[in-house]
Amino acid sequence: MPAVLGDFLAAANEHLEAAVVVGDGQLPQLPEVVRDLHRLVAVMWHYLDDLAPCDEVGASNWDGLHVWDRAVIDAGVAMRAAVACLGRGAAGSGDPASSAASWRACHLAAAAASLAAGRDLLHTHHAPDPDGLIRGRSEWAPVITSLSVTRALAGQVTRWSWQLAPFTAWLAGSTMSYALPRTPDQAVSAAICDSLVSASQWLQVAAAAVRPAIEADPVRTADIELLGAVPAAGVPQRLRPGPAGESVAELCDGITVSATRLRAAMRGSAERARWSPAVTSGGWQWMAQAAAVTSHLAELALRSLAARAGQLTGLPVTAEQLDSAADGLAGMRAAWQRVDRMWDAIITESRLLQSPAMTEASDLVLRMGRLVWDNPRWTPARCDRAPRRSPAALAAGPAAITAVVAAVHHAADAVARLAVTDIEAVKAAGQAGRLYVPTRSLHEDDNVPRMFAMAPSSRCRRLEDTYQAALEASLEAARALDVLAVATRAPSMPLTLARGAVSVQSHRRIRLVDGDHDDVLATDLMPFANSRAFTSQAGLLEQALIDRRVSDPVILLRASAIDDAARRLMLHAESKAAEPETPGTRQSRRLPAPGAAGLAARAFPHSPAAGLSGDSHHVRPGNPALPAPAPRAELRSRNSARHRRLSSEQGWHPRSVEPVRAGFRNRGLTTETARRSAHRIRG
Amino acid sequence: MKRIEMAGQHLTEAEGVAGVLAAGWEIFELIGALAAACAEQAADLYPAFMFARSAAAAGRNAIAFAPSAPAIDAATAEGLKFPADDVSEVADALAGLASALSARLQATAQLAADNGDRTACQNAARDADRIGELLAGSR
Repeated sequence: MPAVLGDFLAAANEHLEAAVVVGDGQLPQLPEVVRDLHRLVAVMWHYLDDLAPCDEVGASNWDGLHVWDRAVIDAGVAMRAAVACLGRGAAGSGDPASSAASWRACHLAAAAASLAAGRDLLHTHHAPDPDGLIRGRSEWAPVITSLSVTRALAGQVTRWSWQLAPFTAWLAGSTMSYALPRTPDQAVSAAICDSLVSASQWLQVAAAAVRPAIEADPVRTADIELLGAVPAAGVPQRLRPGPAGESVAELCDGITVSATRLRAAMRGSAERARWSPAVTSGGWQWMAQAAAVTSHLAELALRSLAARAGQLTGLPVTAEQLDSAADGLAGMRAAWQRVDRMWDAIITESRLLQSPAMTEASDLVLRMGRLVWDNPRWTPARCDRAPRRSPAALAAGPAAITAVVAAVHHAADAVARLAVTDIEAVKAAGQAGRLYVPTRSLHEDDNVPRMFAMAPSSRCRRLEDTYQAALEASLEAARALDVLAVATRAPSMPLTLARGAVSVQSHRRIRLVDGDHDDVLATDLMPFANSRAFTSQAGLLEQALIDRRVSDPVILLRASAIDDAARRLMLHAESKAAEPETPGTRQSRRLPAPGAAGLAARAFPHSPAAGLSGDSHHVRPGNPALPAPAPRAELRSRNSARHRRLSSEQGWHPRSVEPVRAGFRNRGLTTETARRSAHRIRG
Repeated sequence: MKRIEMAGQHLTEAEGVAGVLAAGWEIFELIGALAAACAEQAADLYPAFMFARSAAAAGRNAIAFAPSAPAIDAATAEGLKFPADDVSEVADALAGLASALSARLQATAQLAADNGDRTACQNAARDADRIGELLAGSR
C-alpha cells in the first residue's frame, strides 16, 4: 500500500495528544520541550502558509476571498506569531540537557517529524516546469488545491493549535519552578514565561480564526476522508501479469496498479501530440479499442456481481444498482467504439508505435479478462477464450464484492481520464496539422494527387465531438461506480471524493519553498523593525491602535499582520537598496515605493505613538523625518503593561474566543483602511 | 464469406509489389469492417475482434506508407453488415485470410527493390500475423 497523508496525520495526532498530557505532576525539561514545541508549531504554520492564497495585506484588499481562504490567512498570521514567540522561548531557555530527552519532548519531536513528512508528501504533487512555473504532476494536484482539502487541513491544524494553547500556557507556568534551581536570574525566566504566554495566546487566536469559516462552511466527513487518502505522487511499480494464475484479490490489486499507472502514463500526452512521431493515429485507435474492451469486461464483471448480490443478503448494494452501473458501462463501450470507427479514416504521418500508456492498458485488459473469464492464462486471442467465471467464484462474500467494485471503479476512472487527455491530444494534433484522411473520402472537387490529404477542420471537429461523447459516457459510468464505491466503502472511494472535490478549487497559491519567517533584521536601523511576530513587540500600527485604546483582538491581530508585512517589505527594500547603483540612472532617481508599510502607517495618520503625519508620502529606512523608534526596554515595558491590562480585563487569556468571533464578523476597518491607502498610493 | 473468398482470390491473382500491396489494403479493410460487425455477436470474442480491428488498421496504414502503394479505388469495405454465417466460421476464415496475406507480404518484401516497400511489407505482414493469432481457433 502506498503511503498516504492520513498515515502521517494520524501519527502526528497520536504523538501530539500524548505530549500535551499535563496531569502527571512532573516538571517538563523545558529547553527540550520548548525547542520541539517550536519545531512542531513551525511546521503547522507552514501548512497554513501553503494553503493561503496571498498574504494578509493582499487579503485585506481582496473582497471575493472565500471564507476558508480568509480564515487560513488569519490563522496563519497568528500561528506565525506563535512560532516567533516560541523561537524566543526556545532560545532563552538554554541548551538542551545532555541527558536523555524527556518523553514529552520525544512526542513533540515525533509529531513535528510526522507533520513535516506529510507536508513533503503533499509537495510531491507539484513541481516547477522548465519555465519555472509550478505545475501539477499527478492527478491529485487539483485535489490538493481543492476547497475540500483546504477545509480539512486548516480545520485539523487549528484543532491542534487549540490543543497546544493550554499546554503552552502550562509550560509558561512551569518556567518559574524550573528556573529556580538552574538560574538565579529571575528576569530570564520571566522573559521565557512571557514568550510562552504570548505563544499560547497566539495559538488560541489561530484556532479561533477559523471559527467563522467552520460556522459558514463546516468541515465535512468526506473532506477529512479525502485529506487522509492523499497519496504520494509516485507511480506504483508495474505488476507484470505472469503465466501463473492470480487469485481474484490479486487480480483486483493488479487492476488498481495498472489503472494508476495508466493515469500517470497519460500525463503530458496533449503536449507530445503536437510534435512527437511516437504519438500516432494507430496509438489513439488502439487505446480507444482497449477502452471499449475494458468497458465490456467491466460490464460483464458487474453483471456477475449483480447475479451474486441476488444470492447474498445484507449487502450494502442491490442487484439493481449493480445492473444499472453495468448499463452505464455498456454505454461507455458503445461510445468508445464510435471513437474507434472514426480512426478508420484518419491517420498520422507515422505508424503505430508502442507507448507506455499502451503497455499499462494491455495489463489492465489482461487482468480484467482474467477476472471475468475462468482461465488464469486468458488473453484476448480467440484460442484462449473460456466460460465466464461463476458469480460465486468471482465474489464469495461481501468483501470480495467490495474488492471487485473497487477494481472496476479504478478501471472505469482510468478510461474516463483517457478520454480527457485524448481530447486535448487530438485537438493539439489537429491544430499542428498532423491528422490526414484518405483522398477518396474527400469531396470530388478536392483534386489531391496523393492517397492522403490533410484532415479538413470539419473532420477534426467531428473526431473531437466523438471523443467528447465518449468522455461524457465514461464519466456517467464512473459516477455510477462512485455511488457503488461509497455504498460499499470500497478502497477506491478516494476517487469518488476526489472527483467531487476538484470541481471547487480554493485560491491557494502553490509554492514549494518556505516563507521568510526566520529573517533577521538590524532592528534599530529602521522604523518598522518591530512587529509582533518577529520581536514580540507592538509594531507601529498595533501600537497606534493600543494608544487609541482599541482592544478588539481581531483588529489588533490585523494590525500586527500589517506590521509584520511592513517589516518584511522593509527587509526586502533594504536588501535592494544595498545593491550598487550607477549614479544618474533611473533607479537612483526614483522615489522609494511606499508599500505595505506606508499603507499601514497612513491608515492611522494621527497616531501619536507612530509619529507619522497624515500627509507623509514616503516611508523608507532611516528616514530622518521619522522619529526614532522607542528604546527596546521602553517598548518591552509598554508591551508587558498592555498584556497585564488585557489579562486583567478578560481573564487568563486576553484574546478569548468570543471577541475574536465577533471581531471577525466586522472586517470593515481594515478593508477600508487598505482601500484608502491603496487609493493614496495610486494618487 | 463470399467477400472473404473474393479478397483471397484477389491476393492470389495479385502481381508485383503494387498488386500485392493493393490486395493487402483490401484485405485489411475487409478484416477491419468484418471484425467490427462480428464483435457484437459473441461476448467472449469481443476482445479478439476488437484487437483484430486494431491490427488491421495498423496493417492498412503500413501499406499506405509504401512508396509503391497504388491509388486505391473508392471505399472497399465500408458499411459491411454482419454476415449471416456463424461467428466462429467468420473468425476462422479471417484468420486464414490473414495468414495467407502474411505469407504473401513476406515473400513480396524479399522481392521489393525499394527499401520503403520492403519495410512496409514486413510491417504489414507482422500485423497480418497478429490478426491470425487473435482470430485462429487454436494455436
